Amino acid sequence: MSTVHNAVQTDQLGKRYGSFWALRDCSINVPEGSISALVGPNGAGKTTLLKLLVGLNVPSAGSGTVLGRTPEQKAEFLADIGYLAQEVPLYRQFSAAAHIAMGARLNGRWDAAYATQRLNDLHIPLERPVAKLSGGQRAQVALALALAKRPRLLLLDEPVAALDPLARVEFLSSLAQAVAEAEGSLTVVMSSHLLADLERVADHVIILAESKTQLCDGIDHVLQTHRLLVGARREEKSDAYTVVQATHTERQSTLMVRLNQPHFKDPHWQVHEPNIEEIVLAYMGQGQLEREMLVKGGAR
Amino acid sequence: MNWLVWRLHRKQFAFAVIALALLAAVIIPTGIHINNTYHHALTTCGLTDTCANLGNILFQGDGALFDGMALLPVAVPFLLGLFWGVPLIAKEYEEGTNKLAWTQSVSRRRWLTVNIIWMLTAAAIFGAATSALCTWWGRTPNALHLSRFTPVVFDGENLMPIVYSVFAVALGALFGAWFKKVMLALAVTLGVLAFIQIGMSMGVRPHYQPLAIQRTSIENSRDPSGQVWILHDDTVNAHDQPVNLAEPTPECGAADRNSESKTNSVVACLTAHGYQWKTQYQPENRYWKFQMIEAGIYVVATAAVVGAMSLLVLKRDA
Repeated sequence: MSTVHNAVQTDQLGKRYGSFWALRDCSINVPEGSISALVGPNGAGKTTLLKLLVGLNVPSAGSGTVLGRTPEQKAEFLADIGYLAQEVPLYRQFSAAAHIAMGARLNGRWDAAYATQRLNDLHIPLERPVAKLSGGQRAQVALALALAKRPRLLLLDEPVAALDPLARVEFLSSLAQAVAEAEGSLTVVMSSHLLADLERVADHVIILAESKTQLCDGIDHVLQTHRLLVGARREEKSDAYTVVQATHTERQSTLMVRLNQPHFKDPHWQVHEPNIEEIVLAYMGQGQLEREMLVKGGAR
Repeated sequence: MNWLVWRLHRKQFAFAVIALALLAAVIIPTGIHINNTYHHALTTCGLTDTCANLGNILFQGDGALFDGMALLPVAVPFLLGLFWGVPLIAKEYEEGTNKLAWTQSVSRRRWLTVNIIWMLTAAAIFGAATSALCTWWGRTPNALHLSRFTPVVFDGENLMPIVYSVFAVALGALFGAWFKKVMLALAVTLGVLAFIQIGMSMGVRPHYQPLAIQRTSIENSRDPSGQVWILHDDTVNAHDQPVNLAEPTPECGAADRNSESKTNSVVACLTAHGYQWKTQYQPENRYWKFQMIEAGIYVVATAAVVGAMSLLVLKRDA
């Protein structure tokens, strides 16, 4: 067996519910050991993509490879994957300790001591039914359960969406700590519609908008290859860059561009280095723009 | 997996045990009481020459007890289907915990198999316990030749509570998996179970074997003896067509309620013209055959329901 370099690889992956495509033409590569932020507006297909990757749902088109296997509901496949669904599902009447005991019986590899230690460190009562814990505490219990599998891939669906700002910071720092302890053997794909939350832990970004992949790349590389150009109004195209998003006023143009060459200089433009959030927003806006153009085109 | 099923459902099992204990608390004392009454009557009936007729003499004031006892075992499968079957899968979908259970290192197939085996086995055990209690209780009415073959009594004794409990739990689980909503599945399960229960005893069961026919004279009409299941009692004319004797007959006119002699002469006339009292029934010796046939139907139906449920759970998205 050759070494798997990509923990996740998808090719034109798509999922249709009835006549509605929740995800379409999704082709991404997630390198082993990376922490990927899966970002996009609500309804962009983030949850659907994660469900396809863990095998809970079956794709309607394309294919995906996760840790060298096709996702399926088999014990061997599931053993290496930690998954945390958006609604943080736990058995309400069970305590955290009961969940840990459950995990020990449902998983061949299970680090109960690690999960217990994590929750003790966070001062989460182990014997109280989880229905009586706060949202932040439940999220921590669910994360501890996902990590206790000692997975090679951790798929987290909007884990911080329901949490208050303090609980968010705690959750993300405990995630970062877990990743650091794993020393490169753990790959994380974590979705959010709030990039700011993920920026501090992620080194890789996947942007979904309008059910399609807009970008999938390392954050450093994304920063290197994107520029914000500001100058007198100009609309013609250039080989030097691809426009991600353009805004024009009567006299001035502002372009978010992806450079097609390593260095870019043009006296016409004032060149700025955008931060990752600005780039992501530009891509999300692009999906919006495409849809508007389609509507206009249809009207004509 | 066994641990998980037990931990998730032990409260339901405990409630069922308590309900069964309450049931036993009613059944055992009353069963002993009616049996004692019966045996006491047996020792004294010779004096009044009523031994053959005890079934019409004893327990005349106990109709509510006997009706209640007939309905209890019929209610048990309903309760199991609604409170064990329906939530089994519907609750997991509703609370999203299927996504937790199905992402541990256990295949969805194994998860489903263990859950189903546990629930159906538990249903069979509770059905058997109910059946044992009710069949034991029924020995006195049976000894009195109150038929155990008639609907409701048939449903509550011997094999029926077992197979019906198992089927009801499987059906509840199927609708739960189908609708993914507990309340909706409860309503549908209740309706469908009631429809099946009534449809089986009224529409299907009478036809497992062609009806036996007994003809007696209308002067001295009587039903077949023993624990038979009578489906039709009719006066028929010489062409075997049912007639209503309240209406005047072409051959002999109408009977007169107020005149015994007139009535007797009409009856004699009808008899002379080939009128008969016709009873269509299932005889006593078919009781066990019918139990077997119906149990077989439910076993096959349960297998089909489990198959459909497996498809729903395994092939559909979470």
